[in-house]
Amino acid sequence: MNTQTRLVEVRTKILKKNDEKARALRQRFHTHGVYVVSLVSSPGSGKTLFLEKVLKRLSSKFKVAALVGDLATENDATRLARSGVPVRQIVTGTVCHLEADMVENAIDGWDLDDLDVLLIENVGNLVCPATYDLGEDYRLVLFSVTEGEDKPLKYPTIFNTADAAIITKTDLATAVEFREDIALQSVHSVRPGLPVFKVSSKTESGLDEWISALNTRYNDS
Amino acid sequence: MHELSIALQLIDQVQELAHQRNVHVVAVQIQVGELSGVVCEALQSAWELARKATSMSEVKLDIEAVEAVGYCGNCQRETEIASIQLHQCLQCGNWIERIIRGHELDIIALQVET
Ligand SMILES: [Zn+2]
Repeated sequence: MNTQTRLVEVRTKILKKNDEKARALRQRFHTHGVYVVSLVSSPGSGKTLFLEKVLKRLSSKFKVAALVGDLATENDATRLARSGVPVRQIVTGTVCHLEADMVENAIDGWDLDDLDVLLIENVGNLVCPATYDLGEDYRLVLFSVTEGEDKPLKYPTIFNTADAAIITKTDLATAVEFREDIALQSVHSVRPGLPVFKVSSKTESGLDEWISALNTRYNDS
Repeated sequence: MHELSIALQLIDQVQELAHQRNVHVVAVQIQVGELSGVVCEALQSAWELARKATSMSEVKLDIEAVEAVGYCGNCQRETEIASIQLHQCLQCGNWIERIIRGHELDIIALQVET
């Protein structure tokens, strides 16, 4: 027997709950004057060393804290805690990305009035994090010179949702015959006009340029 | 892959909508944008898996893929883009200014029993 059916229009976001939570978080961060930066990259792009150096520099001027998303281990958080700023780990288990409620839970108990900048390191993955708003103000996508100039072409969506790209490990550029012009072409092919910074966390070259861009954004926020 | 977690959130949402409206859902129509970061085939498989142990084990998922559309400042109008790897206006070849469609991850309608 065939049953009669009809269409009911609903028009709503599939990730409505995450979007609403992210919006509420963003509002809460703004109320307390906290500027939030998130970082996404593949595993092995040098994100943790970058974060380590950035935390050290920022902590002389700002009250900084960091959240580190990881599938299992706590190594990154332990390493970052040496910088002396508050660091919390978000262990995601089998989940390959952070979601807004994980961020909300992770900041539980922190006095947001005592914070200027919060850095959130997403799980090492260039696909899944693109879909989830975490309530951040500034999303960075990192890729290293060792990953190849065409990385943006392979992961266009994450580059499309980012506010800036950072090319890391530039101290190795010559050794791996990295073609900067081609890398920039790839970035701008998937996201025309996206600001790109070139950084070596090891030699610290390029770090100041990015920090001063962050300063500008912070002051404008 | 995050398609399974998206399928689970979709099921939650549909169950809630069905409950609010007091309807029996037969199928769900959704839109998935080319730039949403979600692969339609993977989401369809994830749906088949995720619905099994729920009250929606018979509910079909109709996915409409939405192509990315941008705004070209040169042509001053909406335009198809060459590809998601190449955000150029298909009419004039200039870089597009912004994406207008392609980020969708939306529930559009429910097909329900009358
Ligand atoms: Zn054009």
